[in-house]
Amino acid sequence: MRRILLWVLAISLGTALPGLGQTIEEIRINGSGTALDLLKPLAEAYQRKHPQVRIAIEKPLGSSGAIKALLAGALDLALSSKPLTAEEAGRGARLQGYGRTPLAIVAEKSIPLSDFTTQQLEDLYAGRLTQWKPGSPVRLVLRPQSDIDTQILRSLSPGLNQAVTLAHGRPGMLMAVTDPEAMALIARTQGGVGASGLASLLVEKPPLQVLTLNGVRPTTATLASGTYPLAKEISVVTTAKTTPAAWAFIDFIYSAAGRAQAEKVGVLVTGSSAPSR
Amino acid sequence: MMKFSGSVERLAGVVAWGISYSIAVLVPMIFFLGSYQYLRGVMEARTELRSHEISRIIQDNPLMWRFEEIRLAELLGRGLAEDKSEAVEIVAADGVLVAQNGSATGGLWAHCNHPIYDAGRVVAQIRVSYSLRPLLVRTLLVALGSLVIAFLVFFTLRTLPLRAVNDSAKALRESEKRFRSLFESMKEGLAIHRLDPGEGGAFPSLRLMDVNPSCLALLQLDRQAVLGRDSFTLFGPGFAEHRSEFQRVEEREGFAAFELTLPGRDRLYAVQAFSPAKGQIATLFEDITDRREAENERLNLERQLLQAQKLESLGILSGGIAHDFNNLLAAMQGYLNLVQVQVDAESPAFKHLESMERVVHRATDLTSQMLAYSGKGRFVVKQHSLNRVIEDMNDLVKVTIPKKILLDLDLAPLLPPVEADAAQIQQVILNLLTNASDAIGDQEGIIRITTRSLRLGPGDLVKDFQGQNLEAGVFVALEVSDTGCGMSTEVQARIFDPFFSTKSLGRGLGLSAIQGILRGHHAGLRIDSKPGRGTTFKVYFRASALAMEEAGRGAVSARKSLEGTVLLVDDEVMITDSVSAMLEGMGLKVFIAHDGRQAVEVFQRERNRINLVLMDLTMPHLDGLEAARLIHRLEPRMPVILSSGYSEHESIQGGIGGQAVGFLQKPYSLQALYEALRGSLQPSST
Repeated sequence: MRRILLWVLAISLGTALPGLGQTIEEIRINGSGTALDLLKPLAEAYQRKHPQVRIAIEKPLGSSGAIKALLAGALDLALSSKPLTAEEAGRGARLQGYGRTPLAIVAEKSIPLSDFTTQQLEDLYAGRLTQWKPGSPVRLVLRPQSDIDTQILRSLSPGLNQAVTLAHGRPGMLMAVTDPEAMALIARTQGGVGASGLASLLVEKPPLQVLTLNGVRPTTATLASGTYPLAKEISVVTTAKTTPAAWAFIDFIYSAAGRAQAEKVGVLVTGSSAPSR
Repeated sequence: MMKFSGSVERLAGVVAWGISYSIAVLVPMIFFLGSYQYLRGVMEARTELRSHEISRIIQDNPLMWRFEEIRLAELLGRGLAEDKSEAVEIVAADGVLVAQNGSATGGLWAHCNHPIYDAGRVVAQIRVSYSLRPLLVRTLLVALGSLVIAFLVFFTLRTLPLRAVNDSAKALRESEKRFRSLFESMKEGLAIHRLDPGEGGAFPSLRLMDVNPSCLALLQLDRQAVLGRDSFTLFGPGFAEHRSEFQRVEEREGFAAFELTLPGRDRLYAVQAFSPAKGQIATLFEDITDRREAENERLNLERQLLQAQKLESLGILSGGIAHDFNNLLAAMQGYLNLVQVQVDAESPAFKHLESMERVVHRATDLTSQMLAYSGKGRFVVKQHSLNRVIEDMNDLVKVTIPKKILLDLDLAPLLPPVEADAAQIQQVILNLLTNASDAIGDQEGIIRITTRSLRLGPGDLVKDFQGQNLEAGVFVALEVSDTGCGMSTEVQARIFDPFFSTKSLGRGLGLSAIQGILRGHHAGLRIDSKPGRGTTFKVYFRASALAMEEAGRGAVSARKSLEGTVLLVDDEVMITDSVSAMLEGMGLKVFIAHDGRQAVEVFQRERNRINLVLMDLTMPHLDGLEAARLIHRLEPRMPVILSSGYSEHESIQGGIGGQAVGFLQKPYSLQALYEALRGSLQPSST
């Protein structure tokens, strides 16, 4: 009798409270600012499709921080804009390329310039370009030395590589650690100029003007054609502990729907398939 | 000195070492400690600043802050030294290393920890490490620089001042040696005293610090016996009298001078005191005994010289006056004698002529006194018994001395004779008796005349007869002593001055004449007198080496006419007039000349007729002696009789007088002239 009673109670509860029977699965994701900006529309689309899944995206930790947090078990998935270090790989991190997004040169709205040549960019970072026009000083916003954006800029030309080093050696320079911080700082600084991933620009839509580089606009098309030289890689980093829910989400972003969504926010998806588990 | 130089050298060495050591060790040490403290301050400030910034990161992302690697790395790397001398790490509360920049491995590191809070809870700790290598390297460089500077400082301080000190010490040594040599060898005694000021107004005390050998000889003590002893005791009460002067000298840097006779030493010292240094007195003792005696002797000689010069000038004056008066008296005597010859002896006028002759004789005595004073009086120097001369005066003495005064003669028998002029001696005795009588005055008293013989040696002459030009030998002493009032030293110093007299009616010529007479006789004189104790005059005549000759008294020859021609030479017309009359009265022919040159001319012209020359000595153009010499050159056997208002002794000093056959002292009588001529001219046959 008692056993019958328990079965009835259970069936009743299952029927009466169907929501209580579903477990909320949380997927903790972090990474570089640009990657997270890309991730936000994808996550929203996935959560709409899978309401039992909650994707938690905190303030961007950056690629290294996110991988570190992933290895520490604090995350389920990390999106990185840099390759793995030997140590990270040694500790079990696995990286799978996803796509690329142009690294755009952006400036505060008021500056009277729409295009930068490589030479101008070198002058900008070397400190030779000091004002946009008389009475309007140039205020360059740097990213940390170890940030991938800095390394991408260095790779443009030896002159720019040298100029970036000079810029980091100058005291009192404006510094932004993450992509959102960089966009915000450039936007609110009179005469501000810097670099930011196109995905972040498309997602966040900050009040910035995107400049062409040597006359080429930063788009997935110019990136795909190879005419635009500056690009940020976006990769998926997993470990053996990556949860099935996280894998399900990975599968989603590699899916056609996910790719389409990514293309919309300026990411040229290059990964053909989701990484194997 | 060597000790002082050595100690200065050691001191300079110690100072140089000290300063150099301080520079070499302390400067790097201070630099290191100062820099380290500064580093610590910077570390702590930066650490605290970083911890605050990390706290803000934690506040923004409390769950995932530890994975914000780039942000933390950027924060930790901000302002980090490029030389990798700084390492920063953040360690979570669970001990997990959250972030780090640089690594504090290898070498020395300074660490600074600071907690990182999240709402008051320590969630992590920031640890900043600074490598001490750069600081040590800088300290090493500073140490090397300090070592070089320390070496230079040591060299400078050790060498240069030491060289200066050595030079100064050497100069000081030489100076000390020089002055020590002077100090040791100087003839004057030098004593250096330490002056201890008296307490409570008491006089200061002096103690001997150092003395030179001359001073020790002066004290007749050795060095150990005097050093540290009381100077006033050593140098006697005469020295102690000047203690206030010593104090004044020490305070005001002047000098004091006084004369001092040391106890038990019959020597006189000139003392000069000065202060060579604070609290010290130096006294210089110079023996001035001999100098003072020589000075007294010099003063005495000067006084005697002055007296002699005074007497000389007065003698010249009085002699000149007496000479001229004698010429006048000679003329008067001549004319008087002529008148006496021409006047009958029974005539009443004859007595007047005799009275007149007595007046002339008295005038002659007066001029004799003047000549006696000048020492140029008429001396008839013969051998005399002094006792007899005194005895011959007996009658004269009796009328000279008052009855109240007893005359006591104490005449030594068998005295050697003296060569003297009896009348002059009698003049001396008479003047001395008169003075003795006046000294006793109206009181009763005794005058004693004593004679004795004695020998005076050179020592006696130097001691008692300075300035009297005596020669050692046997003397006959005549002493006239009285019991009268005596004389003070001041009076004694002036009694031989002409016209000085203590008597109301005195002429002041008596003792002056005595001095002249005695000088003429080369006799000595001493006076012993004290006020209230009488006076003794002691006259010393040189004893004659010849035996006494009894002088026969020749009878006055009766005047007879003489035959011959006389050349009478005299510059005084009254003399030639009177004497030529006297000569013609004797039956002689006379040629007259008024000076020596004229006399020679007359003699050349009339030499065959002239039998005798009567020559005055003092004349213009050519004096008597020179004229006589020229005449004798023409006619060596021509008899010449010299004549003068001065004494024969004085007149014939030129030497030619020895060839004269006689000498007539003016004024001379007709009889004296006759006696002088009689020996050279033949009596008239008629």
